[in-house]
Parts: sequence; structure tokens; C-alpha cells
Amino acid sequence: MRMTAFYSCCMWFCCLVLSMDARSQHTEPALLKLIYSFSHRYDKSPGVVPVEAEMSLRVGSTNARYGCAAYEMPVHKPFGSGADGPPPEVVAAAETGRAFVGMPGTLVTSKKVSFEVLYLVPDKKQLVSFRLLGFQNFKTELPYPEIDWTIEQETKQIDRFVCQKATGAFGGRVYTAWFAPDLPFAYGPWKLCGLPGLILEAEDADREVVFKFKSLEMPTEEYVMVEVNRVAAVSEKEFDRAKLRHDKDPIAYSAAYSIAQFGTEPAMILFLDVSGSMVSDEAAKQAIKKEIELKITNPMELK
Amino acid sequence: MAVAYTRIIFFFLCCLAVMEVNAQAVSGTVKDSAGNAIRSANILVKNQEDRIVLFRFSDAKGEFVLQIPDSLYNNGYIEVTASGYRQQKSRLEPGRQSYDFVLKVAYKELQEVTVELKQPIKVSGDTLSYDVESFAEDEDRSIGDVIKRLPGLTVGEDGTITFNGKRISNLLIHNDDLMAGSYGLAPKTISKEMIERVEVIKHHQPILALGDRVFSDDIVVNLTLKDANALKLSGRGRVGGGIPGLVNLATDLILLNQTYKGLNSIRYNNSGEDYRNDMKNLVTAGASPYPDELLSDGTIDNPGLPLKYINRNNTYSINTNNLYNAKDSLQFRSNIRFVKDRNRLDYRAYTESYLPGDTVVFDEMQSILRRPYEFDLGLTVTKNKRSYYITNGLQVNLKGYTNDSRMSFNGEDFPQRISMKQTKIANNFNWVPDFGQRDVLFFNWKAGYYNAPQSLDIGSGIDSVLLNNNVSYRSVQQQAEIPTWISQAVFNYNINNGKLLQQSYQVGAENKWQYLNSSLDLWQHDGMVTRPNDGENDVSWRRDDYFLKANYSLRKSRLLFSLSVPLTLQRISFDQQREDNTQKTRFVVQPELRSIFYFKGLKHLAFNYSRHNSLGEIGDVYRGLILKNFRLITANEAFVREQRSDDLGISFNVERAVSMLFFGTGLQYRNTAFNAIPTIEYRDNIQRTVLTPLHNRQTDLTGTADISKYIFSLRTKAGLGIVVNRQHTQQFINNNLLPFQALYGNLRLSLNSKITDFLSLNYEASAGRFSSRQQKVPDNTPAIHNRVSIHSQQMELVITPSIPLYITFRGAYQLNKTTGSHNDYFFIDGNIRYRAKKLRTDLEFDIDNLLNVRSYNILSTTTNLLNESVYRLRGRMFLLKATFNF
Repeated sequence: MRMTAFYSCCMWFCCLVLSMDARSQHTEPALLKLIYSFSHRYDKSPGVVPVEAEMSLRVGSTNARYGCAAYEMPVHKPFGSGADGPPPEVVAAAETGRAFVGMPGTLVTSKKVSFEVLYLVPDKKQLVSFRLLGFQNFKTELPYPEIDWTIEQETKQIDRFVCQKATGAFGGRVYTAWFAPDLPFAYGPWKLCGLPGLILEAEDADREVVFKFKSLEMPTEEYVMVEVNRVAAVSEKEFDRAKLRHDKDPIAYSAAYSIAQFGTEPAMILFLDVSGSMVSDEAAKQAIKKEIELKITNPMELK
Repeated sequence: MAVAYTRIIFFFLCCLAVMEVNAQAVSGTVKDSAGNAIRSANILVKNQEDRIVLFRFSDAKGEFVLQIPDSLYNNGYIEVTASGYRQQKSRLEPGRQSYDFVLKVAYKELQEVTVELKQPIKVSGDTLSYDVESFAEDEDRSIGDVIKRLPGLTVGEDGTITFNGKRISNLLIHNDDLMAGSYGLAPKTISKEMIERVEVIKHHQPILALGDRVFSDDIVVNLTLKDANALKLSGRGRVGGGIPGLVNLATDLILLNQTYKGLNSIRYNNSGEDYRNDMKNLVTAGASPYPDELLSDGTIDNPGLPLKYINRNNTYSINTNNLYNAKDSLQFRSNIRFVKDRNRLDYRAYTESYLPGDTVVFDEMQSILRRPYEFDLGLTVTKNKRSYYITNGLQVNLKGYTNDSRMSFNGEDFPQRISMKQTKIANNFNWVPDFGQRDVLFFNWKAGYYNAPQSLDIGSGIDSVLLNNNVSYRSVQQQAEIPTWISQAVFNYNINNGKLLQQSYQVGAENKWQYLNSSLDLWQHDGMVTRPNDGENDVSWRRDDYFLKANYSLRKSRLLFSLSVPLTLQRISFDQQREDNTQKTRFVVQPELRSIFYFKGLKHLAFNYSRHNSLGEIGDVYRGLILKNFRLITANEAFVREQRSDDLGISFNVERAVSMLFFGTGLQYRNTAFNAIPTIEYRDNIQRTVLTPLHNRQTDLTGTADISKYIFSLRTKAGLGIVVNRQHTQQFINNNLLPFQALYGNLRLSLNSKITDFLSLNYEASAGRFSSRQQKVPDNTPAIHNRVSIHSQQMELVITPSIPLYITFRGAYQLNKTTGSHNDYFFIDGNIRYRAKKLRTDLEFDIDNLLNVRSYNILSTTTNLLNESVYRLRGRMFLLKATFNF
């Protein structure tokens, strides 16, 4: 019962986020959907188990979207009795940046894998990041990853595809990537891109960041995320400032926004784990308390 | 040294030679069969093992440049791939510098992956559904307690529910409108266990036949039942007692299921709880078509304090609401409500009216015993089908009061009695025929009768000069009534062509027949009853409005625009004492324009303009005297008052998410032109008002700004708001036309702080100042000038030491100040609540007015008046309540 309610709430939230891309003019169908098994040793202290999660990459003809699969809500499921398309005010909200469609609870996700959705447009040399803090979506333009790949002659079979090896340095690590020339898309997991074929696997030299191929499908009703307006466009520096405040106390942060916007505190606190399991109320508060203490000492990008 | 240089140069030359030998620059283009450049195609240079050796991406023109190592000219080739195209190869030929590729569309592959552009998300977007179990806390009893917790929803003092600041259009129970708009009682009495979901439905269209063809901006709250087939009666009983002599009793009986819904309640209290809010229609807004009461027994307003502080009440209430769903979408509903009260009010009001070179003082002190009652009967039959809709509602409202008081006015004591008996019968018929088209026709006819005869008896004390040729008399009796018949018929026609511009048209007629009968009788000392020459009125009035209204609205992504143009033919005809028939006909256009522009970065700019014309009422044209209260006599010249106002507004809002800063500002201007002005004549103990023709104008300019910010380090939301208003108006006092300028300013500060998980603090401070000053004052007279300042602070502390125990403390401080007068007040209230879960009983302990404040002064000023009212308060109250839920 409670779980259904959580999903309803989250679906409302996500409907808002996702329906916007659906209506925006850059919408294009996802040609491929890749799932990676991702692991990251976020803390090198002995005894800390690397985080494991499933990440998804949706590939379109001009852009691609990458994010944590567990954070995607089952939004394709009809909510309530099915009317076609999002309601006018969702669209209005999406297109104009006004009017909330009611957000009953605040959602906190694990710091171990960020809620970030990356949106890559190679033709425009654009890397856009959408991140959620409490109730608010933030959009940040990140520097486009220009990786100087060296093509190696080694090949290996991954799933149905013959992949060739390439090495390149990014974010303070040297990655080995396996790309499939038969899939002529210059995308890959996370910010790894720029090879003449889709990167199906990649790992850094110390095996601290690993992306393994899990599955590939040709989705029929999925879309690559596109630019949304119902977000605050901020610089990286500004976002970091907001994130610092948020991470200190995510509940208080969301409450502040909620009070300022709706005049009430958020009624429900939800915590979503990288495995996709969700808890609420006391359990969520406990989980968030642990999150506050959690330190990411070995980030993916070493600066 | 020279050797070293030679070596370096030699090495350099060697390098050049090696490069020259090992690589060859080639270029080319990638295009589709139509000749269009293909961007970001993969240009792969492969060796004989079919491995990629190097690669490039084509640029925006489809061009590429490569350095091909010589070793590849042996069995190497260039392969071009691009998503959606067939790959193409070309063998590397030594000496060839240009490789152009024309790619063919890969139909097969494309068919496999291309999908139709459908919406991936299906949301029945107009419904926001809250799961009650998830939101309810242990301490909540009624569904109203839960609604207060739902984000976006707020419940006002009188029970009004708002969603994101917008008043809801109705509260439904399992899709049925059981309460007929007076929904205040329902959330308070329905237990949270009966409800599964609270749904907020936007754009709610209750009429199935209109469906999505007629856009509705209504938001309703629907309470979905957990068990739609429940047969168990539930409810609660409450017993409460306290000092001084307080009693609070209630029984609520509730049965809610698909076919039958009943909510019935009997209650009594003398602890300050006002049941009239439960009868109040919280849905219908806007002006009533019926006339206001003409007579009153006092000149005071509500002091703005919670009623429980003042109201020494004795209130009974019976509230029954029953609804039955029969077969084939037929529905019957009855709402029968009765409330009776007996309460006492003691006050003293001191009014100074400043005139050029003079001041008139009215000092009234009154102790009133008020006995109001109200009976409401509503019967509705509805047939709501997909193909057509028909409903008829009959409303009978009987209302009245008898108030007895002892008045001390400017040192003279006299008794007063006022009574009123209102009868209101209204019928509302709605019909949406089966039109068989996309366009929609909607017919509405309202008819009503209203009369509220009043009688005001005042012992001597009224100006004998004016009324009785300077001869003293025993008492005066004023009687007045305005029986009214109304009919309003409207046809709505909505055009549904799916275009961007939406159109709808209305055509209708509104007819009103009214009579104003009044008489003023003087009881002389010798027992004779006399009537002054102009002491009676017999006015008959008829007003007919025929209108045609066109509404247009345009909705684009960043723009919202709506225009409504009503064309109205207004005709008024009236006579006095069956003579002097006056007629007036005119044609008016009252356009209304509204637009909002949305900018990127969460900003929007809104603009509105409207013009409004209004014609006077029967209450403006009577010539005979009416004694409205013990110190006000009115009469008019018989002509129709006209008023035209133009409203212009602009507002701008910004939302900064990172720093949690919200800002909004607006400016509103109104210019109103009148063709008449009330001329006020002051005498020592009486004020006489006559409406006289004189063109005059009033302007009103209001500026507002609000800013709110969350301070992270303090876990506190801080808000600051400012309102500034300037009004120019004219008053015709004792034959002088006096222009006035009124200035109002208010500054508000609020802090909401969550100190710890079990302690939160809310603080609000406000400083307001109102001043009124006479303009264009002749040199030798001092200007009439009034000032009132009101400062207030409120603090609320909520403590939750352990789960079933809740403690709330509230403190309010107020300072009221004017020249030569200064009063301040401090009120403290407390509430302690304990929930005995096993006994299904809530124990509640209320402390009201802990500091035992016994009187309260409030100041107000308008143009040339300064008013100070003192109310006697109930004092300290302790009340213990036990509520048993079954």
C-alpha cells in the first residue's frame, strides 16, 4: 500500500520531469538502449565495498542520454485512467517553467551514484547535466569531453558485436574502452565518448571505475531526453554551492524549498537506493543520516 | 658546438623525411543520395585484418581530412558508417587524394528502429492523488487533519480549502457533492480511516455531457472511500466541560457508500465555537444579487480577533446532509440545517468626524443580547449522463434575529431593539441537451424571491430637530423591506474546433423587480403616532439587462492571452409613490484582457486590464427618510447612480532555486468615475446622508513586493513583504467638497524555523500605518489629518515531546496607536492533546486568553473619520474535551 503511494508520488514527480522532454521540439526516438553494470570504488579505505549499479544509455541519432537505471521510475505505466499525453498544465509547466503539479514528498537519492542525467550532443559539442536536489531540477552545461583516443589492434566479442580496443585519458584516469564499429554511434557510458562506434565496455587502469556490458535492446517507445525548461539553469560553481548545502542536510534543504514554494513542509521523505529500492519516513531519515556521513574520497573524476 | 647544431638539424631533416615517406594526406566528403552533407559520419581507416587503425568524424559540411600511413596502401581501405545509412568502403589507392562517399539510406535498419512519435507517458494528468495512509500521522483523527498536512493544500479558519493558493471549487465525497458547497463540516467529521485517497482534480468538469469539450478551471478535492459498499455507521461523540461554566457537546453520525451518503450532526456549545461557518457556502464567490440590509443597531465592524475571545455564545446546531444515487444516473440530495444562537456583545465605539474647523464626536456604548437563527433547506434532483445533463435545485433559507440592547449614545441612555425575518427562495435549473455535435450548448435559469423585513425601535435620543420639529418624543420606529424577484437566463455556446484560439459565446437576460417600502413613525409622549412628511418610501424598481458576451483565449508555450468582450443593454425604470416614472437605457461594453508572458529562468510577467460599468441599485433612489441606525438618516435624489472603473495591473515574479530566493512585485491602478456623491451633513447627534448628482473621481494605486529566502545556517525561512497604497477620493461634507488623500503602508516580516525535530517556531511581525489628509486646504484652516498605526507580533511554538502528546503555545502582541491614544495587548493560548489509541479517545485541553485580557481597543480611520472601538472580552477559559470515535 505504502509502496504504491511512494511510486505514485514519484511518478508525479518524474512525470513532470520526463513529460517535458516528451513534448519538447528536440524529441527524438531512442534507437538503442544499453544497460551497463557499473562499479565504482568510491572510497579506497579497506573494507569499503565498491558501489554497484545499473546504468542506462539511450542513443538517438543526434544525442544520447545516460543515467542511473534504478532512478528511472516506471513512468511508462499509465497513471490513473489513461488520457493521451501529459495534461495541459504539465506541458505548460514544462514549457514555461511555472505551475507545480503537486509534489507531495521529497526524494533523496544515494550519493554513491549521482542522480545526474547526462545529455550529450556531439554536433554541438554539448554536454548537459540535469541533476535533482530536493524538489528542484538543475541544468548545468559541462565542458565537452574531448578524449584523445589511441586505437589498439586488439578485438573481442561482446554480445553479438566485435569490439575493438582503444585507450584514452579522461578525468585523471586512463581508460580502456571496447567499442563496436558495427554500432556507428560515438557515445559510451558516462562521459566516455568520441569513438567511431558505441563503447560497450570500459574501465580505468586501476579498475576503480568499471562499466561492463549488460544488455542492448532496440526500444520501441522510448525517447532520448531533451532540453527541458522547468529547471534552473546554473553554472557548475552555483550547482556545487547548492549541492554542498543540500548534502549537509537534504531534508532541511527540501523543507526550505517546499516552505518557500508551497507554504508547507514536504509531507513525505523518500530515500531511493542505487538498487532501486525505496524507503520512507523513519527508515528514510535513517538512510539519509548515513548518507550525510558518507564521504566520496575517490570520485570518478580526479581533479 | 657546431657539431651539435649539425646533429640537431640532421635529426630534424630526418624526421621530416620519415613523415614525408610514411603518411599521405587525403580528403573527401560524405553525402547522401540527395547531395546533402552527412555530419558526424565515421570515417574509418581499416587495415587488411579489418581493424580500425585511425578514424575521423565528418564535419558539418560532410568533409574530412586524413593522414593515411603508407603501410595501409597495401590492402587498406576507408569505410564510412553513419547511423541510418548503409556503410560504404573504398580501397586506398596510392596517389589518390580525394575520396567522396554517397551513402544510401538503410531502409531495413531504419524500419527496425524507427518508431512513431507517440507520447511515452500517459498520465491522467488532471488528477493528483494523495494516499491517506501514507500522509496521515498517528495524531490525526479526521480527514481534515490529514488534508492540512498535504503539500499544496491548506485549510483556512472557516474551513475553506485552497490548493497552491487557489480556492477549491468544491469538496466531493466519492465523486458526489454531498455538502452542496457548504463543505466546512465534512473534513472535520469524516474520520481518516474511511478515506483511501484525497484527490485534487484540476480542470474538473462535473457535468459529464460537457466532458472535455468545455474547459473548466475548477479545482475540486475528492475524498475517495476505502469501502464504497460500507454499511457500518460511524461517527463520534464529544463531551467537554470547563471554566467558567463551559460546555461543548457533539454527536456526528456518518454513513458513506456508493448509493447512500449521509452526514448528520447535532451540536451545542457555549465555549466560543461558531457553527455558522458550517452553513456557509464556501464555493460561491462574488456579489449576492440580493440587497443588503438597510437597518442596523450599531456602527461597529468585526474587530479582527478570533471570535472565541469575544463571543459569549450559546449555540445549537443540527446539520443534516443526505444523498441517494438511484438507477440510471439519477441523484437526490437534501441538505437541511438549523442553527440557533444567543450571545451577548458589549462594546463602546468612539467616532470623531473632523470637519473644516469643527469636530463631531459620536460616543456609543452598547450591551446587546443577540438571538440569531438560520434554517436552510436544499433539495436537488440531478440526472448526469454522458449524453445529456439536467438538474434542478430548490433552496429555502429562513433567517433572522432579534437583538435587544441598552444604548448610551453621547450621554443619553435609551433602549434599542432590531429584528429581521428573511425569506429566500431560489430555484436553479441547468440543462445540457444532447446536441449531437462537438460544439456545446448549455442553458441555465435561476429564479428567486427574497425579502428581509426589518424593524428598528429606538427610544428617545434621536434628533428631535430633524424629525419632530424640535419637540421631544418618546420613541421612534423604522420599518423597511426590499422584496426582490430575480430571473436570470443564460445560453452558453462553446465552439470546439481544436484550434489554438478558443471561442465561446453567451447570450442572456437578467431581470429584477424590486420594491422598497419603508416607514418612519414617531411615538409622541401623549401616545399619538405621527409620521414625518417625508417619513415613508414606496419605490418600485425594475432592471433588465440583456447581454451578449464573446470570450477568446489563446494558449501558446510562452504566452497566455484571454479577452472577453461583453456587450450589455441595461434598462432601468423606477417610480416613487407610483409617480415620477424615470427610465434610463444605455449600452455598455466591459472588456477584460489578461495576458502572461513566461521567460526562461523561471520568470514571468503578467498584465491585465478591465473596464467595469455599474448602475445603481434601488437603495440609491429613495427620497423619503430612512433611519438606518440611531445616528444615521439617509435620503436620496431620485436618479440612477453610475460608476465606471478602469483597472490596470502588472506583475513580475522571479524564482531563484540555488539560493532559494523568491521575489514578486506588482503594481495595480484603478480609476473610478462616479456621477453622484453622498453628501454628509453632521449635527451633534446625527449624521444625515443624501446621494446627490456630482461627477467625481477616485484613484487607487497599490504597489506590492514580497521576498522570501531560506537561510541555510539557521534552518529558517525568512520572508519580507511590503504593501503601499495611495488613494485619492472626495467627500461632500457640510456643503464643502473636500478632497482627501489616504496613504497606507504595511511592512511584514515572517520567520519559520525548525529548531529541532521536536520543536518548531513560527514568528510574524507586522507594522502598518494608515494616514488620511485633506488636500487643497484653504490657507487659514488647518487640514483634516488622521493617523493610525497598528503593530503586531505573533509567535507559535509547537512541541512534540513524545508521539501521542502534542503541545502548542501561541502568543500574540498588538500595539494600536494614534495621536493621543496608545493601547497594547498580549494574548496567550495553549493546546495540549493526548491520544489514547486503545480507548479510541482523544483528550484535549484548551487554554484561551491565559493572561485574562478583558477588553480590547481597535483603531481605524477613513477620510475624515477616526474610530476607536473597545470590546469586552470573555477572559480566561479552560476547556477539557474528550472525543470518542466509533
